[in-house]
Amino acid sequence: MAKLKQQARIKRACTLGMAALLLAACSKDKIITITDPDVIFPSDLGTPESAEALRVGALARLSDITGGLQGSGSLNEGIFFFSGVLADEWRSTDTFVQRDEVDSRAITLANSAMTLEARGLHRTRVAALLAIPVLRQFKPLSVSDVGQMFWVRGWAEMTIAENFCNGMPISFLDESNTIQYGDPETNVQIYNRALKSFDSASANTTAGVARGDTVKWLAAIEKGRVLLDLGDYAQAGSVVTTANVPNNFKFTMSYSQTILDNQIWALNNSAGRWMPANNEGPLGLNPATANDPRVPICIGGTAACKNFDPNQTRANSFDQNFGAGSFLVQLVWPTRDADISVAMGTEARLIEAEVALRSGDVATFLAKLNFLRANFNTFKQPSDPCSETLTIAGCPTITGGNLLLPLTDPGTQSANEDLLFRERAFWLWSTAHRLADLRRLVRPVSDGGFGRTENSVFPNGFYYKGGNYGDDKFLIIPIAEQNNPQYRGCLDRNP
Amino acid sequence: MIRSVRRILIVGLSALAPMVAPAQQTTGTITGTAREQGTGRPIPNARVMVTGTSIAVPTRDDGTYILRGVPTGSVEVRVLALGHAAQKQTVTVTADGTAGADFSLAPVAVQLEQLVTTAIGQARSVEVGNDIPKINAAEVVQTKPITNITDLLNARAPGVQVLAGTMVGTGQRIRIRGQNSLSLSNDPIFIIDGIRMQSSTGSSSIGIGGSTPSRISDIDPNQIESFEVVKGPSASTLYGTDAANGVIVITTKRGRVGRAKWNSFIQHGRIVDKNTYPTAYTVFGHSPTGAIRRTDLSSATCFPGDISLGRCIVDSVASFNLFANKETTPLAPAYEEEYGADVSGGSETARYFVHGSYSGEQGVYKVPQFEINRLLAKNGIIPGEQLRPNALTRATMRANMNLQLSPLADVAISTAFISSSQRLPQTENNTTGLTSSAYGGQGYRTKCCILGTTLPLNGYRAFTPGDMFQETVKQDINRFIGSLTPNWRPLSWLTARGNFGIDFTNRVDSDLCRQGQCSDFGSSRLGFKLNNRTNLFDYTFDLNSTAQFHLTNALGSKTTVGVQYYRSIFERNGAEGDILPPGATTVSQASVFFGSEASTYKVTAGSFVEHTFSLNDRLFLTGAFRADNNSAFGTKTSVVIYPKASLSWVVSEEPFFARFGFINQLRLRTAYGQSGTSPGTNDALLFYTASAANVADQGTAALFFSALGNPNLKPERATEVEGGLDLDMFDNRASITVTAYHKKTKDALVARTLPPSAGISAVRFENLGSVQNTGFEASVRGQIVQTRMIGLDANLAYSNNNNKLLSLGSVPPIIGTDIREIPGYPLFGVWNRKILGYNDINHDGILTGNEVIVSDSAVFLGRSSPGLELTFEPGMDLWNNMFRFTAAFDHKGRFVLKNSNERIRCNQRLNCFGLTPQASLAEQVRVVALRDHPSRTEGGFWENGEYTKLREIALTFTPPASWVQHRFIRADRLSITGAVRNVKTWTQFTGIDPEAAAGAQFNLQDPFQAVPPPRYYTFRFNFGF
Repeated sequence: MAKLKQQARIKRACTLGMAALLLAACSKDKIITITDPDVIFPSDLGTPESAEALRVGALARLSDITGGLQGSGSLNEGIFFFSGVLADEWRSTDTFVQRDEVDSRAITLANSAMTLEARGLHRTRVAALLAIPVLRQFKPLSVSDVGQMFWVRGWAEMTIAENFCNGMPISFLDESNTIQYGDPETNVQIYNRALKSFDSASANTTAGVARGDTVKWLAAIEKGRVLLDLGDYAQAGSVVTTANVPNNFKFTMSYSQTILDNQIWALNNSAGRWMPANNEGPLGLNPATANDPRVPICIGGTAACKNFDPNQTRANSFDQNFGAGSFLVQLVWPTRDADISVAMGTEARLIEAEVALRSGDVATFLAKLNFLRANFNTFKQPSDPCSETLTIAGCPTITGGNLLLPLTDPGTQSANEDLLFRERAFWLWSTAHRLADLRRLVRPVSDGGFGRTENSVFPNGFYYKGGNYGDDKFLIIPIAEQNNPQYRGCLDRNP
Repeated sequence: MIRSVRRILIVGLSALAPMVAPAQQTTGTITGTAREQGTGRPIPNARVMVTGTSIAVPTRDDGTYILRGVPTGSVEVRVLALGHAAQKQTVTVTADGTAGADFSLAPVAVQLEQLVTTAIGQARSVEVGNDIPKINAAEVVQTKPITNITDLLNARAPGVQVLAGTMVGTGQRIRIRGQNSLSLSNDPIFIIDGIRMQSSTGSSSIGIGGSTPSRISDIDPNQIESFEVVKGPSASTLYGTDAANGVIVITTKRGRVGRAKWNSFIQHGRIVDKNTYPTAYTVFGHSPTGAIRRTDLSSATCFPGDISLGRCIVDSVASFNLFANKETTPLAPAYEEEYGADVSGGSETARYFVHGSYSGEQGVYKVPQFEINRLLAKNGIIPGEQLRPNALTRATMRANMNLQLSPLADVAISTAFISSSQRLPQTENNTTGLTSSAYGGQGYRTKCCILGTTLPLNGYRAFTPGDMFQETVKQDINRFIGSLTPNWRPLSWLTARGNFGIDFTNRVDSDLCRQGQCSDFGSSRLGFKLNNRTNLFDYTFDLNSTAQFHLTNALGSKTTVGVQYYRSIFERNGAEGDILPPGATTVSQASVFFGSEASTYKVTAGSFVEHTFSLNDRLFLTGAFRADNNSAFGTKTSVVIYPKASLSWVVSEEPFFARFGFINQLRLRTAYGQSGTSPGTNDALLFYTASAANVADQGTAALFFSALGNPNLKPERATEVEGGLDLDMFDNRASITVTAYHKKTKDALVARTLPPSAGISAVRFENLGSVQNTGFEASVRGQIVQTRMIGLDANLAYSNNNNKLLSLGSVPPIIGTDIREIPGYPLFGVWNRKILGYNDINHDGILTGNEVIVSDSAVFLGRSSPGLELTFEPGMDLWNNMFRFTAAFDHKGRFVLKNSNERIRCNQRLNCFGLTPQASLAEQVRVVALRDHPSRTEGGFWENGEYTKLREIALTFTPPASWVQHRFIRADRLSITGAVRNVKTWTQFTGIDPEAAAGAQFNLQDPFQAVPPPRYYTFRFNFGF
């Protein structure tokens, strides 16, 4: 009896053992493999819809790097802020030293905020690059979509060159998704890349299609801008004029509370981490005292601000250390859902004006500028609440039928250049043009610049948070780039 | 011998199934009683086992036991009981006969031989080649100021460093033998009653500024019988991937055979913040022309530099400490309370333990009086949840059963249900948080104004607590932990065992700002509500089988094979509603909605084989390996193998051992083993993500290239060798345990920063790094004096850890503002430009930037986590143990800590003493280096972090049983404990407290705007009948 019981137990043990063996022999893939619904694999991208989503993704990257992206570890401020704080458009009123470093023109290699700007620009470039083959394969008839991606790529390349020192590599992902590390390139090399991208954008447009026209005008404006950066003003004028960019053309990034707030509003008007600069260093731009409708400014928390945004109650900066005067709030984009035009017909006219000036045609130069001023409603940022036809509280009054009075010839080439750059500064305020303009001003004439001295252009002297301004005229290649084996840092300190 | 070898082959090589029937066996029974030597009292719950077999039972309440199915012949019976010396007897068993064996166990102060829980079941500690400290949690909870599981773990075992959260309900950091990983978790895993427990320390979707709740803290310490610390890979190999940082094994209480026994307790505590907070200073002055200048007047400052240059003539220095003022302090005494009862008992066939408890605890934060006046005038009422924003209530039910299904099979069932509700205040690294404003205000109360009013800020910087605490952050938890542990012993030499269970947590995080409430920042006052609902599942399926027998009379063999499956699921749905109408408190009442969904899954499957040879039951040689696969490994990585080997030798039992009168037992041990840590769930994958983009004011689907992935990704692999000895001396009145270890983590996952120019994700995980931890641990425990009237005992534990990053592979050093990862230096090493000296050249008593000398580049300043810990626990018994007094000192050293509060106070808040003309040159220098020297170095704010704490003192009164045995209630146990936690701190660190950390759970301990630990006074009444 005992033996029978024993044998029964042994059989049960054997059964258990066999079950365990079977379990162990189960397909490991079935046991181990999991599917995370949060991710999308490359194999899911083979449709026209996915091509369109990649295109929109590249535009979203462009929106992030221009207007900014809210969120932990993300950009927060876009290049429209970051470029402007190194120039004279913005002041850091934050407690983050990374922003103060740039504001005081003393940037360290490890500046994490600057790294985010570099990464954001390259991500925009690569997003466009990745979308192009998918669009060509799955939306072969939407040629202008491809052109638009070339323009996005060119815009990113141009902005890298305008804001960073010589030496930024341009890397790629190859077809096997392996990083092909780029060699350091000079600004001129990158500008030439951008020119090729804009040419490709123009070449990939369909005539008579709205998006085709848009891409063509975008490519012309930015190509003209790059040519000015390279000192080739004659060619710049030709490109813009040939493209016949309409006066009222605007390419706009949209913002809303449900998807993404306008971060210029969020970080200045709402959070007070940035503040418009006024006479920074001390020769900087003076929008607060200029009473100029192109850059309307109010004092935080006052009725003038609340007139445009009832919730604008902030009367002090985030760091409560904004220096002399009052806490300033910009009104170009007065609400959280104000759209930002990243390229406008305004710039085409400004390029034409500059070409005229550099060609010695002062009359045309002034006519072009005054045409812009006389048509404020056409050329302003769309969310700017000021109007040339209505008197708006908080905006300059309309004098003699003009919101912006006509300019007159100051009499010298140098003064006209000052006039040009001041007009550009107001029309293109906080759209990542100012730093490139300051760099052009100090660049030697032989390199297409204006040969001004550094201390006559960049903020300098005593920095209000302590110490003196440094001598940075551009963003530097961030330390994270050291992970590129070709890294060499800034190749020089040339503007 | 041949038969035994065949058995090994059967069990070991056929992976669980003995395919060939062994020869017939006949069995008998052994019965007896275990009593305490001297008193004759029965010893309940002692473990009685037949050596070399799987046969083991606990003693009943009356000390009796019955061992059934014992093989005939001469067998060795061994008894292990807590607080008593182990004892063994040789017993002869006849077929179907009953043999008797009574034991008389000597009570001992120290105990080296005890049962420890391993991955494959319980084992005698002498069989294991590792040091696995076992803490009698039930006793600690009854006699110490314990209010949560962190208190239970803190400073109990050498090599285990615990940094407790400082607010009620916030998480902790636990590090065992140093930090191993740059990029992955350095937290140990937790096992409770045989299954994996959800133990995330940052368990919340809503931040308050750093600190977060921890799922470890859900566990009520009153339910725990003991916990063991499996310190490193040499011991944790068989726990599989993720066990490289150690394992904490929790065993909950279980029923004993006997009549129903009731235990109840009441604990009440008072929580008081006794810390000294920084005083704010403001320098008032005027310019030579008479214009007002002030340190906080940004347009006309009065900094030392201004004074030195004659721009500011000082009129006065105002100072104010809002924490020291009754009107303005946000601190108030709080309470802690716990109530619980359990009943246990049962028969041999069914034992039970049923426990219920409730605990409530309030944080010390409170709306200050000046704010109460303002808010009452404005709203007429302050809701309690806003008045006291930090609180935790928790109710726990536990029912454990042990069922003897047959003489050969039993099953242990463990179930627990936990329901808790927690509130957390806005504080720490949070612009609208308490400490940002409370540490950052000026040296005078009248500064204008509370936003939206004309009332003064009363020493607060920008926001005041009445508004801050209106933002209500809550976490509600409903959690079930259930496990089933069947044991089947079909043969005397074969055991099959399983652990099956689930740990399920339903977590609801919410954050509410009613319309018109909260700090006036951004659009908060328009009102918002977040409601994030998360389900966390942790499944364990663990099956193993052990065969053990004697190959010869001297040589024993034990083989275990097993499989294990562990699945972790995280699923969260979130909803946010912005712009609430007055009175609205739900997402659906808002004007603007957001939704979110997030999921994370991870699976580990593994199998293992372990074999132990024992020689004369005093030399144990173990070899094992575990094969694992994990869902997070790259596609090119399949199974990883972790080997293990250990040797334990009770050398004092060898005949050749020269007997020294004072040595009771000497054990030498060494162990080698590997374990791993798996990468993050999606780290190996190349994938895209999707979100909405705004194109022409329309939400449109967008795809983004998100991660490059790494198909070669594999786990971090830690290899550890440890060796040491356990010495038991002076009639078991003293013991010494010494262990040295060397742990090397290879294939360490480095979050390799990708160059921005690549235009893709910021980092990619690669197995590049190598980290080394070496250290030494020692503990000395002794009963110094033991008489009827007085007893003195002490426990001294020391541990050190030397941590070094050996390699980052091809990745250049990782440079942060303060923290750098540089080969040859510790992980998370602190680097900054160092102040080398200063010289007041113009002798004006004020330093300026050019008078401070700073190193040209960053230099290594020290470790960021303690490299040394020393704990000392003296105890004293009086009047035949009627009174017991204990204390616990805890010293941590060899690390630096940043006084980041003072850094921001000097740099941005402009209220630190170093900015006043009264500051000495030594007090000015780091401020000047930070503000005026071109380096802008923060290096001067890194200080020696060394500290010593009198962590707890306790006095327990235990009256003799005769005093409490009442004929109506038949009470047989009573104890009353009064205790204090966080009694005193000695340190040179100039911050508030070296254990204040904004988020204790992080790898880096950052005191930035952190709150320090308060003091607990607790009074506990334990009553049993």
